Amino acid sequence: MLSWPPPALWLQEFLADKSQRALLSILAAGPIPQHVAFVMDGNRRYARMHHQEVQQGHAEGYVALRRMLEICMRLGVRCVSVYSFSIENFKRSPKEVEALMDLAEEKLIELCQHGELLEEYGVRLNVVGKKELLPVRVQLAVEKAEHLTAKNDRSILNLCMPYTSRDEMATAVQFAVQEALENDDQDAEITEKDIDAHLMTTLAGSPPLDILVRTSGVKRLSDYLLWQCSENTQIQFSSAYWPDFGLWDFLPILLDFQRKDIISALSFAVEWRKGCPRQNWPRSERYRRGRRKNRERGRVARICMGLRDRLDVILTSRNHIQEVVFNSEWQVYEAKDGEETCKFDRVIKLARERLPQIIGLQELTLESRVKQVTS
Amino acid sequence: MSWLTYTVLCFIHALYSIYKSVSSYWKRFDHAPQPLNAPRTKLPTHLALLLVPDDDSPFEQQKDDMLQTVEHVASWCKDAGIEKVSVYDREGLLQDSSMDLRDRLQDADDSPNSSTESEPEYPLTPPLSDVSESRTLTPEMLPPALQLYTIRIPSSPSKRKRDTRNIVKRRKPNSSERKPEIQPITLHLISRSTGKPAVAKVAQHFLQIHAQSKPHALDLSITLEDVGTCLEGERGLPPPDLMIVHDMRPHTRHRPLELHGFPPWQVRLTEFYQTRPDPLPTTCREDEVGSSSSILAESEFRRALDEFSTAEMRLGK
Repeated sequence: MLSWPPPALWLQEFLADKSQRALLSILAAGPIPQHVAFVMDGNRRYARMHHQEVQQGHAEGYVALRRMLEICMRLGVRCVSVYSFSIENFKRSPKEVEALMDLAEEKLIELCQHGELLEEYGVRLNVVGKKELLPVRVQLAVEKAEHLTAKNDRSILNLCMPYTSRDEMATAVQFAVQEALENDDQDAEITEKDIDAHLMTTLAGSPPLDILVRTSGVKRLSDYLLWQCSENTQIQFSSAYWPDFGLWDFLPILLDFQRKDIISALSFAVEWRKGCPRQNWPRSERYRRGRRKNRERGRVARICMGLRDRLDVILTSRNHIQEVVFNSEWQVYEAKDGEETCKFDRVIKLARERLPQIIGLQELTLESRVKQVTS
Repeated sequence: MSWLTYTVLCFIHALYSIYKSVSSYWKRFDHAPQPLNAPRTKLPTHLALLLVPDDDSPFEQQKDDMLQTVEHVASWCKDAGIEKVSVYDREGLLQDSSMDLRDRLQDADDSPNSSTESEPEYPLTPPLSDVSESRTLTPEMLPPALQLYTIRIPSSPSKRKRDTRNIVKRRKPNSSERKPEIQPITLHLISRSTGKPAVAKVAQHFLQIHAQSKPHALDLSITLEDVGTCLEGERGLPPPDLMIVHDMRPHTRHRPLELHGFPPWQVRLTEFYQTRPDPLPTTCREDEVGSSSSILAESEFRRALDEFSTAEMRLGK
């Protein structure tokens, strides 16, 4: 059988790349998850199926990781977490563990080099887990890799190695207790928010988890991100082995996420039309609407409902505040004034002044949107 | 060209909806699951059932559907030989109706040998007392009890015909020598407070211990085993082997799996099974004539057990 001549092969790859980019930009028009986690399972079974060495399976797994990372970055996912190595995996044969450590050491530096994937998309690398269990050479590689990408701020990649979720939760409990002891507050009460704040993923700056994907058909969490995926996270099990996992396997997962978002937005819009007062706004709703100018006051307000308990209120005005994020108790979660984070008390003051008007606007636009959608 | 992008995206979603409906329809023709008491290579020792109630239906209907589901599951577990069951609902509706549930389970178990052991056990201790009181206690403080309500369902000999081909015929044994064929079932009712808030309470417990003994110790070490003993030990919730997630809202059952706040610590190695959506809304299943589609079907329960028996556990190796 004749193989493709080189120019035609190049053309085939070029067209495949272009069509992938087009599909991703179409998908990016809808809701995109902020944080996606992958359990990269099935490398060894993939290798056995293709009559290869186990190390070759792990190498193919690394290629799949790069592929998925690029897809997520092009979609605009802010944070990707991958389960590279569990603390339990130290029980494997010393030869395999050694090969995995070699792979980790080599690929960590490769990923963070100048001109490479992480730099191209502005991704900051965090290695999450009990790093003291790693061999010294890998710890040095981790330190170097984290240092190389420390200034990147567009996205985050959490490489969980060696990691177990119970270890993370126990460490968070320890840190929370230590903090309370240091503050020496006799009436201190540790709440679940305190534990959440001390988790390794939160300390690395990760947003709440939206989707967790486990490959190779196994339907377990296997001690991965148990706390983070306990609420408001879609857990998807894919039957493909990790080295085979690609955009076509990820597409239904993404579409499921978008459907949930759109349905929540529509149901919220219908509720709002019934005259739901502000204090009864349902949580975990999301919708997005276009910009409307308030010509009378010369201000533009765009309101998006965030996932879970966040309400994103975007105020642009002569005070130049561009985005304010509230949680359901109307406490400021995050605020950005152009490029800088502005002071919370100023934002709170402005938000309290302007919220009644914004709610008025919201009623107007939602009603018209509901008419569009339901007609 | 954003309108074009939105249009294409809507078209992709429409195609995906059609694909999901068709694949859900084709799943009807899957092999029927094995019967409840069929021999399986592996059975879960502890089964968890996560129920998501239907908020759109009236409250009484929700409660009734949930209680009926739990009643059915308890009976199926007896037949299949599962000894521990935990039923979770986020808001604690089942915990509030624990007395009704106990009555229903007693009514269902109509054997003359049934004992009076089915009183529900409530959490042993109240929430942690304030710090000033606890300072007078001894340093050996018990870990906090998790908010779980326990009902022990006594066993009764199964009325189903058993396979007696290989059993040697004996004379009728005395009642003192007779061993129960089925173990009693322990039913735990749990809610969201057994999950993340319980981990926070464990942290609070450690804080009180360390504040008493070493008020400024920064070299304290709380290990995984310490936390695990509190959460999974005698006063905690043991980890389930299999979890059946059942959304009682028929129109959202096609959605991906979510855990709705189930205790995170315990689900480390739990196999998940999510009940399937009904392929057609008016489908009448042969084995549940007259039941509402919110209630868990026996076929789904059996399918979950079948899937569990084929799951491979490697435990990191």
